[in-house]
Amino acid sequence: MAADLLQHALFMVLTISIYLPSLWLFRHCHQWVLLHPLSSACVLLGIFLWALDIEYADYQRGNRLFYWLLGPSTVALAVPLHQQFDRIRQLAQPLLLTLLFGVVAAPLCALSIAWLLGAQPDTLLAITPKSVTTPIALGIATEIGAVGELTAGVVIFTGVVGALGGPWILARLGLRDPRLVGFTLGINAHGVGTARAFEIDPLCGAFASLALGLTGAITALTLPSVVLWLGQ
Amino acid sequence: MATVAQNLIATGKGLALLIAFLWLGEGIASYTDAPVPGSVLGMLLLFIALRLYPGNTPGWLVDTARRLIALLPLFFIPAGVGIFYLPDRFADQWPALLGAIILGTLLSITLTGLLLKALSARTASPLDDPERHR
Repeated sequence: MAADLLQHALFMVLTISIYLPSLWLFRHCHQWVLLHPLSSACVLLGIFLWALDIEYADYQRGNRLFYWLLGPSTVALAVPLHQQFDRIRQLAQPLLLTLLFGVVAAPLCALSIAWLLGAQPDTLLAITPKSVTTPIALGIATEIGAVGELTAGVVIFTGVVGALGGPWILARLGLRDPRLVGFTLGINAHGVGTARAFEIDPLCGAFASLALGLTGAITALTLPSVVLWLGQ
Repeated sequence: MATVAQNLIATGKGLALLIAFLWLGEGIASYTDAPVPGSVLGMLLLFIALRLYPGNTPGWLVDTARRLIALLPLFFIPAGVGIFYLPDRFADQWPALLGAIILGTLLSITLTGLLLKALSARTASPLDDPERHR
């Protein structure tokens, strides 16, 4: 028991002691996006675990507190959402229309590219809920009979790609309005995109929070029925 | 010293309220078999509560929320490391997986971003509102 607690504490210290220097490096290198802790700390930790021959399952169990803190942090998104609600209401119509499009476009883009590259049916099933927040995606994976472990990896990878590549690609398309960038990140890159949006601007984050919640809810309510209906 | 203690109490109060809403959301989710996780329901419930609350949002809640949200990337890192541990039996599927995740995500971001830009240009609301740059 005591040894277990010590191991958990050590794994959390490991995460923090790689996260902090990664954050420092990111801030001192003109916020160059490839150095964002979401990529650099993950890669460094991956190398570290591999070099020390540590099982990922053990490491993950040790960091359960961080995973659990995602719960109250998600609830906390209601605060900026409330503070920015008047600005959100001004854009209600374009936001809703884009949301309905995005809920369909995000899985469809991924599925068509995977299919072109020769994905097996199992792989296609597992990537379908890739743009929604992990707990919703895992719930959907169970309902449609996809491999949960693969879905979990795909979802978090999607979040990292969207969070890091999204603002970059949108800036190149002339899209810099924090409200629009935030909403686009929330639709396509769930919580990880939302975390990134708050770093860009609190307004950006509020719009991402809204998109994260709505995309998750709509997808959870519709996607399983659509997949089961197509599978018949 | 007094400010440190005050800060701790404020953060504790904020955390306690957020956890209360999380548990409320989780309770409702498991009771009604809702497909939406408790944290998302908790966010919705807190949002409704803040809308109905007549006064200003308490400072301790705003501060705790801001601190937690700033730490979100840290909370995601243990899950992010999982990218390197995809199940072995999908090993031969990596081109499709990488293509779907990288190209698919950037493609859908491009499409939704452009659509949102086109739609919001038509509504009269100004895209850069000066209030933000106080």
